[in-house]
Amino acid sequence: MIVPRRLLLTVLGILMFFTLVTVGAAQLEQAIAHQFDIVIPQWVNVAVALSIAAVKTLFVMAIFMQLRWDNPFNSLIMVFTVFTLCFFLGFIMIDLGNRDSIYPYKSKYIVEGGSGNITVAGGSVPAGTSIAMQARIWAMEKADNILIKEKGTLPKYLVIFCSQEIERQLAAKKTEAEFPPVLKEFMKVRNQAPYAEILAAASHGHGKGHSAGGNTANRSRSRTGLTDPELGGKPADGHGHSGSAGQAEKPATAGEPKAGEHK
Amino acid sequence: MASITDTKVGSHGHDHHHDESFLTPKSTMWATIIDWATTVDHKKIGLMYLVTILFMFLLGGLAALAVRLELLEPTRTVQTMLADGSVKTVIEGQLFTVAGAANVADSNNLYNKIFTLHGLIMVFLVIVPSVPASLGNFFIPLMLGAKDVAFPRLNLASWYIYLIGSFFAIASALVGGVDTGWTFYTPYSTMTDEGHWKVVFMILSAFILGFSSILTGLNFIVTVHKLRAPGMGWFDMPLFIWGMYGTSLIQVLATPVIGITLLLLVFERLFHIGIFDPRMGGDPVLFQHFFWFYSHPVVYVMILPGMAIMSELIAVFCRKKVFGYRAVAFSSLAIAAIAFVVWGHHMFTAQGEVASAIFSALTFLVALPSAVKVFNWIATLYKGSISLKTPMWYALGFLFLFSIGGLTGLFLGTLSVDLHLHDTYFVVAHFHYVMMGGTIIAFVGGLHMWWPKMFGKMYNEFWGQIGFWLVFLGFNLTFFPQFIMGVHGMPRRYASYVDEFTIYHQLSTYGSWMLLAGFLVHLFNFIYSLAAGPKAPPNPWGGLSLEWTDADSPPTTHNFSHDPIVTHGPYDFDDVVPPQTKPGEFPLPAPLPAGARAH
Amino acid sequence: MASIPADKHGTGSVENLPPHETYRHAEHFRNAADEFDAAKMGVWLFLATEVLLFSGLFVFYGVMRMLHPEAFIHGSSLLDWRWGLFNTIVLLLSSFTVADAVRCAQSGDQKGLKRNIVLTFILGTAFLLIKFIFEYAPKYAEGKLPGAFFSYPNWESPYEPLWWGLYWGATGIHASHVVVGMGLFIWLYIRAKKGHFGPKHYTAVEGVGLYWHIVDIVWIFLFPMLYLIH
Ligand code: HEM
Ligand SMILES: [Cu+2]
Repeated sequence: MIVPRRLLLTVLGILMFFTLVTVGAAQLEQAIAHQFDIVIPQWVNVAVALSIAAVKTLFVMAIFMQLRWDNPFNSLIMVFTVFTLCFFLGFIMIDLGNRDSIYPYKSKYIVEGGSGNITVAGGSVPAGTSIAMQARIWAMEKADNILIKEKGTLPKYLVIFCSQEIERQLAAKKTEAEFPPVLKEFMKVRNQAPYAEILAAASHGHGKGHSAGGNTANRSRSRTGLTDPELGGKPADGHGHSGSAGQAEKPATAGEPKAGEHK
Repeated sequence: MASITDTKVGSHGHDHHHDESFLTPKSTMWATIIDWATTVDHKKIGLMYLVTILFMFLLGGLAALAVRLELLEPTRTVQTMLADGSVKTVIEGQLFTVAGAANVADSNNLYNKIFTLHGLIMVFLVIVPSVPASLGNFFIPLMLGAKDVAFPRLNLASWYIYLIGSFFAIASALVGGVDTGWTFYTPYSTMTDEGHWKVVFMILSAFILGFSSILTGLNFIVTVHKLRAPGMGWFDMPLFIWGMYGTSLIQVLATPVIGITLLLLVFERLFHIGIFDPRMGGDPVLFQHFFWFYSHPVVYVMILPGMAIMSELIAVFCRKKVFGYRAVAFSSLAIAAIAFVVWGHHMFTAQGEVASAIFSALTFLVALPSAVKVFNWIATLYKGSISLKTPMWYALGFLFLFSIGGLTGLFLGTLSVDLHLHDTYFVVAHFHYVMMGGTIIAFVGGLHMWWPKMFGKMYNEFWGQIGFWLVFLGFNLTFFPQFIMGVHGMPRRYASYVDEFTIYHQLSTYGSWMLLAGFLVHLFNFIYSLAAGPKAPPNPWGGLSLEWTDADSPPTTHNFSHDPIVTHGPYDFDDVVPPQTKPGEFPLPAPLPAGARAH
Repeated sequence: MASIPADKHGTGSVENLPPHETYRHAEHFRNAADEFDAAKMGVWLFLATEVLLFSGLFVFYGVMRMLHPEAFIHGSSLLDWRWGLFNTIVLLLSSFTVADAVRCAQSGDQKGLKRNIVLTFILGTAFLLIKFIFEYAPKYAEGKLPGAFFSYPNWESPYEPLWWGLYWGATGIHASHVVVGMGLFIWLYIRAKKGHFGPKHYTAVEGVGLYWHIVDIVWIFLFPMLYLIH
């Protein structure tokens, strides 16, 4: 079967159209949620995106890949494959979604100590530091290097980091005198040329799509509440993190991995 | 079935007069070696696989013997007060301490490494490829009346990939070995072994072997679809092909998952991406899900070929139509399908209760098609004209052992019972009864049946049967006591045990020696037959599938001197005198009462 | 397809015909159509394994998104969907050019075939360049890296290393498939230049095309999953 060029072009058009639709749908959903201040459940987002992707896939397979005219066994292979995939995903989700439905305490198993608390680095990072916290320590060192030692310009993400870090320190009731040198230095320059614009843009864009965890995130299962609150993305909840030490006041709840949860 | 008077297959103008056997060596030794190394002939590739797999079986077997030897005695610390008042401490029953490990801990680590090596070799290097890659490669085209498999070069590639994979496995063992168990459970596999390479090599090995497995499976599926001889419909295929077809489907659909699993495991190990690490929000039990999603279906990659061979053994040596052909054929597909939804029964103690309950219920389903097969084989025996040659003994052995293995599988599939039996020797006994008592037994039986076809030499029947009894009794002696100690609570994967278990462990170890003796008898019997065995006729057992009726022993390079045309079913023993045999050599079974033989 | 018996094609001199005209199927197949069907079935089975290879990543995504939605939502917000969209369009176009290449081969349009192969190759390159220059490089510089390499300080959830593990794992494995595909297109181009493909024989074009489409399909799913969540 030779697929006529016109048909190929039509399918290309349809695919482009659906690509735009999927982007549009995502934007629209966000806009609606924002506009009417409602929380749209996660599955809507997923269902819409995946259905559109599935439709696109059908077009690619049927026409571009010529399944429509092909030996039906080849289509059957794909059907089996999709079944297999569904079983794979489905049963695992059944398990992980229901770990706690008979014994509620089991919900802890997955995230207890799930603080990102693993150390792989050495050097200036104290043992027991989580990877996430380690990122902040490194960022502080890097900013220090750039701003103080090299007298250079901070990249955008470090600018935002420094300004957030200041907030965090203040929230932790630290006085400016107690700040690490790089933050003091940063406070001097933050209203100057490149930095001011960056910060203005950031504060403008920030909080729109994902203010404090996002509109739908806090609908997650209760178990995420077990996440170490110090690390849980609530920078202003009364606990701060100094740059180099002290962030490990609360050690990992589970230093040992819960190996297989064997009884 | 209607006789087909079709044209010549592959109607090219020219004729190859390759009428000599495919084993005929080339003029010089090097030419022969190069010929084999670059061959695309499915028979040669099958034989190369056979030799490598048997070699790996030897390696894995040695590891097993070492494990059993260590368990001959429990570890005892004996303290004696000496005359001068000091205490002398001696540790007994630690084979590996004697063998060079510095202390008890080292010895136990070595034990862990050796059973891991045993498991990995036996699963990934032996049982998974065993029947498909060797006998399957050799006989699928012959049984279908084809000249080769669909993609001969891929077939050769799969053998080389297998070699590379085995190389990594052995390399890993040589640089120190891994002690994760064949299951690679996290966090053992992500947190032990500081130097990385041993575990990574082993993972890489399993990853590479997966490709080899996929290529074999893919090749067979296409071969079965596209290369059946004229006149051979789907239900005229020998049941061996149906079994291999189901196997191949699983290989293609399940193996990629182990590929991505191992890839993620390596990422986890080297980059700590966290998916299996609870400290980073991952879940180690997720690894078990990934692993068993492949590894449960793969136990059917192991047993289906054994069942496939069984159908041939029983039909040929009972000279009777297989009872319920379609039921046996479809049960292969049913097994392949159900195999994908029961993996959670390996995780009853790890996953949540909801999933466990569902998986337990589904597990019982998988026993149905297996039972369909077993009952149909037994029904085939009924009033058959059974000739008790070595292969038939193996078929009977399979029925006995696989029934035990399968039924104990149901104990384990029962959620509440498994909580007691999980990770005990009961599980060890169960899977050896199915894997060894099923697959390996059928494999050896099939090897005996097809040996004359493959090499054109008869093995010695007397020694064949001696070998069978040694293997059969040795097997039961090795593994039956493990059921008992398992129920009494002997955990698996320990280098020592309390004294009460001593007798069972000792029986088991003696059994392993008997097994060794049995396999050695077979080995020498085979080697002797190659050197000095009598020449085999083309159809020594009076079979009716194409490899018996239309091919020489050993087959010619192009398999058939003419293009085969299928005129009767593979099991029409009632109606057809087997071609290529002497008249009267294979009489029909005694007639049944009227109406009893309605198929 | 090395030596062709002269009698096969009547009196016409074999030397003057392009290879695709004189293609002879392998001996163990009954005819060329069977061989083509077999090859295609083989490719489809291979595609099934590819899909299932990616299935592990989809499960990774599904499970971890269920457990840590906040990490995924914030992580996703750090990706620029415009680059994702752009790359989707690039890949869709390349899917079209591949399908068109097959059509050209089938109808004997040698020029169109070569043009389409080159176009696909260029689009593939564009995809990779965009990926590396506008996606990977800045992320690498800011430390948005998987697991242990994570050093991006502005996270909102400590599980974000996991998200980046998924991001790099999924897009990385996908990109490696693109690279393999481009290698295949070079091979196709060389063979097309030698005149190997025509209406009677275009198996390789079809096979590589199918592979490329599946790579595209994987991206069709990855794009909304990674870029459009919120
Ligand atoms: C009748 C069908 C079968 C059922 C219901 C069944 C059930 C089970 C169950 C529930 C377990 C888990 C036991 C535990 O760890 O607590 C198990 C383990 C196992 N089974 Fe089966 N099984 C069956 C057939 C087979 C076959 C045919 C094979 C292989 C040829 C096989 C190989 C294994 C292996 C290798 C293990 C242990 C894996 C390990 O933990 O290392 N089973 N079986
Ligand atoms: Cu299982």
